[in-house]
Formats: sequence, structure tokens, C-alpha cells
Amino acid sequence: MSAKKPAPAKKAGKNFAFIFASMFMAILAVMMLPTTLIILIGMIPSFVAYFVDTTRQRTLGPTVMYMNFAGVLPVLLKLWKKSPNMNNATELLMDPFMLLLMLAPAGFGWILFIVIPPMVSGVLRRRAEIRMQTLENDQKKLIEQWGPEVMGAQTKVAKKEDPIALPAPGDDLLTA
Amino acid sequence: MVEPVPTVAKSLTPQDAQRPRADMFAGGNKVTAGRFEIDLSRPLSDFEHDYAEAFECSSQESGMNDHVAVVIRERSPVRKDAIHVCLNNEVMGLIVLRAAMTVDWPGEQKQRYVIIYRRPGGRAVLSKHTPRREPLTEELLRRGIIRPIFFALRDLSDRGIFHGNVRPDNIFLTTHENAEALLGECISSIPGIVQPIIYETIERSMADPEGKGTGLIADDIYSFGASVAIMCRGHNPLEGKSKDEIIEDKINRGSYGVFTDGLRLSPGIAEFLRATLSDDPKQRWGIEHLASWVDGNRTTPKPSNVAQKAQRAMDFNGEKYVRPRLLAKDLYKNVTEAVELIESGHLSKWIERALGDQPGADMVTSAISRAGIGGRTAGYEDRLQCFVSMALDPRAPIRFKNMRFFPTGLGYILCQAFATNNKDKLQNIGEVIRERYSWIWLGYKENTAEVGADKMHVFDHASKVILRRGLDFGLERCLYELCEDTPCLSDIVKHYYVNSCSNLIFALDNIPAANRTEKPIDRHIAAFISVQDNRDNAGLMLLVDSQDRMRRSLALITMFQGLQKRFENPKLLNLTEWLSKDAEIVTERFRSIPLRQDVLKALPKELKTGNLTRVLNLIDSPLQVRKDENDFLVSMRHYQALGFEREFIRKDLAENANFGLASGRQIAMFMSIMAAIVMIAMTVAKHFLEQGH
Repeated sequence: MSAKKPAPAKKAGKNFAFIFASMFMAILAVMMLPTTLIILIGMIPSFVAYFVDTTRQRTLGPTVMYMNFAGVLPVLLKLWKKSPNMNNATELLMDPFMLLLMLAPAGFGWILFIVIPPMVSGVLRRRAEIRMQTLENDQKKLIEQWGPEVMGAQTKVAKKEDPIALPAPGDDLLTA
Repeated sequence: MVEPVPTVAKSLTPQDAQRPRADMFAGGNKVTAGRFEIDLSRPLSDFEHDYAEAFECSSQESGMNDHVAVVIRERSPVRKDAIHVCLNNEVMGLIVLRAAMTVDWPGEQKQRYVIIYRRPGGRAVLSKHTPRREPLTEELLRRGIIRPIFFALRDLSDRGIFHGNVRPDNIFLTTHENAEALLGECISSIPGIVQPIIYETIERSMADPEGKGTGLIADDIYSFGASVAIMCRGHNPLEGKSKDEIIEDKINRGSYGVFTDGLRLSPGIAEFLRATLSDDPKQRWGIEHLASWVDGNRTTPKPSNVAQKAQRAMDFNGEKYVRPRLLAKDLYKNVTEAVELIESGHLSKWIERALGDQPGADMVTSAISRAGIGGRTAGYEDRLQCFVSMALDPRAPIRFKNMRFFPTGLGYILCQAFATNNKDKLQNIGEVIRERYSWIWLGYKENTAEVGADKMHVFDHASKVILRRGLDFGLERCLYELCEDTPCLSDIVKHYYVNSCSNLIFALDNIPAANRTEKPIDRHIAAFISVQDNRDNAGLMLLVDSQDRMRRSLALITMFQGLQKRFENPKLLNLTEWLSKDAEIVTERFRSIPLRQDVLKALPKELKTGNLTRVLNLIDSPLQVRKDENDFLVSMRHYQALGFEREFIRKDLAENANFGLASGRQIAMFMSIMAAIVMIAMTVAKHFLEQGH
């Protein structure tokens, strides 16, 4: 019981920091409204990615966000260079090139998320299959050296249709 | 029509004459047997009988045909005890045994057992072919016959040997004035099998020829008396009579009366005959009395008693019986009527009232009770008849079904049954051994002294081994336990005379490959080894009979390796080759296939040495076997570990459709971060560069 006592205080502290940070961010957003506007419009793909991400690791959002931010940053710099007012912000947002500059990297991030995992999965699957083959070869070598008895009593004598089944005693081991 | 009993040992019949003789097959007419040469063209009919042929024989030293070679037919047993005694001792008055050995018989591709004697100087007193002669004078009888034969019997008796073949046609006498008779051989046949019943005591003559067993000195003394009586007369007084008639005559009139009827005898010879031909073994002279008579001392022997006689006759099987011994003898002839007679109580009443023999009646009652133990099960009638016969005449042989035998003849009768493959007889003998009929016979006080304690132990042992399952047990084991004289009767060594383990391995090594069986062992060989070998092979025999072929083969090789070592036969090329398949099977004990292949590769070289010890060292090296076993266990564990890992991966691949996707997403995120960092860095750098301009 005593070990659990500090938990509510910690949670309360965390909540307070979150509320404080949120309030700070809200004030900052209002104070820098043109910048906020560009970030809100430019980072829409990231918000969508966070929203549609159903994977357990939830990696779609970050993947898109980092690239998305890399795209938004040049627009923000352009805004800050001219003058960070609403007119310049609106002008930049209305410029198709600027929109493309913000959204294209997000799309690239999305493409990474779509393309890379299956590729990696394929490679890993292949590696696992190679390992299985190595293990099977090692087992075959043991059978070649000691005969089917080395499989012992606990060995699964599988049905023939089971492709991963170990050979049953009497099977042609060398051609299996 | 009853067949007359011969006076002399049966000579060759016309059928026997058709039997192939050694000389017909032999490449030449001479066969070498050690330092002797057997002349097959000169048979000696005086020494022949149903179980042996005889030929003149010369020794290397003399070069003359001054020896007799008695060649055993087929695989008849010979008397090992007598061979041992006669080879190592000079028995006065007995034919001199020079050698006894197995000889490879030319032409027949067979081995035969040959016994070589120094040829007696004279001829048989009464020839087999002319069973009549002039009566011998008393002087010649006393000096030339009785005295030397007595010495022979005494020497044999001192060494515990029963002769069993004392009869005029086996007593040799020269025509020389001071000639002394020589007693003929007794080794080439089992005791009593060739002895005509006229020379046998009443009890022994009631037994089957092969069931007479080893007798006592008293039986030899009776035969001696009968022989002297016939020599006094010059012929057999019972000539032409059947076996039953002779026995009945002897029982009714007493042996002395039968042999001396109508003879004029001097008081000395009459005393000798009265004492030696007494039908009561207790009244019959022993060797000491005989010695005293030979030395000239005279006594007055008690008149011999004829068998017990009833006041009224008993009707059985259409005949009238007044003597219980004769009734006991004939009970087996009609078992059904015998059982009625016994169960109705007529027999007990007859013994009690007509014979006045209350103890005898009690013995019969006790026998009836014994037969009824366990109820009227199968074989009850034969059992009852057997037990009651035994009670009526305890000294007579055991009469069971178609057999009449003494316990000491059980082994010989079993040997004959195996030799003739008489399955019914074997079955009956099995019953006799199992039910311990010999013990019942020995339980009668008249018989207790007949057999020594060691023999009683053998009967007891036989009744146990016959019940045990196993290759080296059963009836075959009983045969070799009960009859030490019998050679190995295995079909595997049917062309060899195997009477010792040494001979056995020699014979097995000589069997050509074409005649070999799958394994060099069967029930006969197993039982023979178990009895004859001085080592206890029980453990190995158990394994030889096991279901596990590897253990079976290893035990077989180990057993023959032991025999080879013990009997110092360093080279058994053919036997080793015969066991090669077993040696290959034994290599299966090695778990490691490469090791097994290496051993198999080295095996032919070791097999070619003919030394089973070397073969065994290769296939049964304890260190190698233990190392192989340990390595196998380690490998088995390793195999299982590999299997578990493989199964884990397989399951993951089969059941996880998103295999590797999580890692892929992490990599995609990482790539995104890296790309973003590069882009941001470039953007910032460009911005500050533009600011600088």
C-alpha cells in the first residue's frame, strides 16, 4: 500500500505539466498566428497519418510527420523572412508550389511506410527460411551419423503431407 | 507267436547285412585311426553287435593285425566312465583298451567313433554262430574261467564300473593248456542293451534293452553265474524260449533251478552257482564272498527262495496268476481290465487274503491313493497301472505305457527315443521325468540303495529343467543330464560323433558351407554345451534365446569364443565365417554409422584369423561401446535442440502473417527521420547562406 502512495502525486504533477505546456502552446499559437496557420495547414498529412494509423507500434504518424515537417520548414522560413503576418501566410498557402513543397515530403514519408515494411519482412522471412534449412541440414547430418534413432522417442513422427515434418524412421533420409 | 530270445548277443541279421558298411564307402580298405590302421576288408563278427561293427586292426608298432577296432554305428552312445577307467588302468582279466577316438570315415564324409582293443588270443567260449559246444571241465572252469573273470570283475567293481556284458560269447579263451579267459569289451554299447536276457537278473530282464540302466556288481555276478552254468552245460537250457517264458520260468522255478536243471555239478560249482544265481540280491554273493570262494573257502549258501505264491489264482487278461511279480509284469498288457481289478478292490483283497501279505496290500492301497492325487485326470489309468505294478513288485523296472525301464536307464531310453525320433515315446518319457516317477520307484526300501545320492539329485534336477522354458532346457537338457554318455544328437552335427565340447567346436568348424543352418546352434547343442561345458553358460543361453537379435548374436559369438578359448582351438575359420552374419548384426550395437562402417570394414580381416576373441575385441570393445553410447546421447540432445528451434521458426512463419512488418515499420521510421534531418539541415543551411548574401 505504501509503495502505491506516491503515484497519485506523480500523476497530478504530470497532468499539471501537460496543462501548463498546453496553455503555453495555446498562448504561443495565438501570438504567432500566421506561423500557426502554416503549420496547421502544412502538417495536415501528419495529423491524418496519426489518425489513420492502426498498427500496434503506431509508426505511420512519426514516419510521415518527420518528412512532413522537413517540407513545412522552408515555407516557415520564407514566411519569417518576408514578415510573419497573415497576408504573407495566406499568400504562401495559396501558392501551389509551396503547398507541394509542404505535402510532397509527407507523401514520400507515407511511401516509405508502405514500401519498406514488406521489403524488410520479405528479407527477414527469407533469413528465417535459410535458418530453418540450416537447422534441418544439421539434423540430417546427425541422422546420417547416428541413424533415425538420434531423433529419440519425443521426435514428432509427422504425416507425410506435413512439409516441415521430420522424416519418420525408415524414410530415405538422404533424399528427403 | 513269440520270438525266441537269443543266447548270445544278437549277430547281424540279413537286414543288417544290407546296411552300408564302412568298407563299401571307403576309398580303400584301410582307415587310419591315430597310430592304428583299421583293415575294413577283415570284419570280426565275434565283436560285432547291433550298435557297432568290428574289424581287424594293426598298430604302427607291431604292423600285425593284433588289434580289434570296434566302430560305432551312427551316433550310439559309448560308455565314457568305462573308457576313462580302462584307458588309465590295467584291469586284470579284461580285454585291453588301447585307444578310443573319433575318426573321419573316408567315403562317407562322416565321423565315427572307434574303440581299439588288443585282440584277445583265443576265441569266444561260446561262439555267436555255434551256440553249442562241449561242456567245459570243472578244472578249466575254476582255473581258466572263474578265477580270471573274477579278477576282472573285482577290478571293475573297485573302480565303480559295471560291465554288463558278461556272457560266454564275450569271454575269450585260448586252447593253451594253462590258458586264462579274458573278459570282452563293454564300452561300445550302453549297459545291457546287447546282453541277452538269459544272462540278466529277473528284474533287469523285465526292462527294455535300452532301459536296463547301469547295474550293480551284483548284476554282473549273476551274469557271471549264468555264463558259468551255460559253460558247464555247453548250451543254453532255455534256448528257443520267448522273453516272457524265460522270465516266468525264472520266477516260478528260481534262476538256479532253471540253469542247473539236469546238470551234474560238483559241490563247489553247485555252491558257486547257487550263490551267484540267487534271485534275491541280498542273498546273492558279493565280490568279497566270491573272492573267498576263489581262494578255496567253502560256505553253505542259503537255498534260494522262489517268488511269493498265492493260495488262489487271480484271473487277469484271460490268464491265471498266482505270483504277484508275474501279475505286476503283465498289468500293462490290459490297462482297462487292470484298472477295474484295482478299483474294485479285488487286487488288494487277493494280496491280503490269498497271499497273506498285509504290508504288500498297504503298499498297493498307497499306490492307488497316489495315482488318484489330482483326480481322474488324463493319463490316470496308465498312472494307476504304473504305480500299482511298482507296489506289487518294487524291484522290477518302472512300467509306464509302452516302456519298462529302471531310473538309471531313463537317460539311455531317452537317447534311443531321440535317435529314432519316436515322438510318442519322448512324450511319455517327458511325463515320467516331470511327474518324478523315478523318485517314487526309489522311495521303495528295496530300491533306495540302488542309486546314489548324486543320481537322485540328477533326477530331481531333471524334473525341474524339463519345465523350464529356454533353448537349453526341456527334454533335450534332460537327455544330456541323465545320459552323460550320449553324443550330441543335433541334426546340425549329424555327420559327426560329438561327445565333448572340444569335439563340438571341431565338428561345427568342419561343416561345409552348403550344409550349414542359419545359426550353429539348436536345442540339442545348447543343452549339450550347458551340461558338458565346465563353465556356467546359463546367462549366455538366456540371451541366445532372446528376442533381441543383436543380443542373441552377441551371446552366441561370446559363447563360442569361450569354448574356443577353453578348449584351445585357436583357429576356427569355418565356424568364424558361419558366425560372420551374427558379427555383422552385433555391429548394429554401434550407434554411430561411420563407426559401424569402420568396424564392418575391419571385420573380414578379423574373421579370416579364425579367432573369435579377436572378432569379439573388434565388435564388443567396452570402451568403444561406452564412448559411442555417450556420444549418441549428446547428439540426441543436440538434435532435439535443433528441432525445437526449427519448430519455433516454422510456427512463427506459419502463424504470424505480419512476420517482419514491425521491424520494417521501424526501419521506415528511421529512414524518414534520417531523410528529414538531411532535408532540414539543407534547408537551414540554404537559408543562412541566403541571409549572408
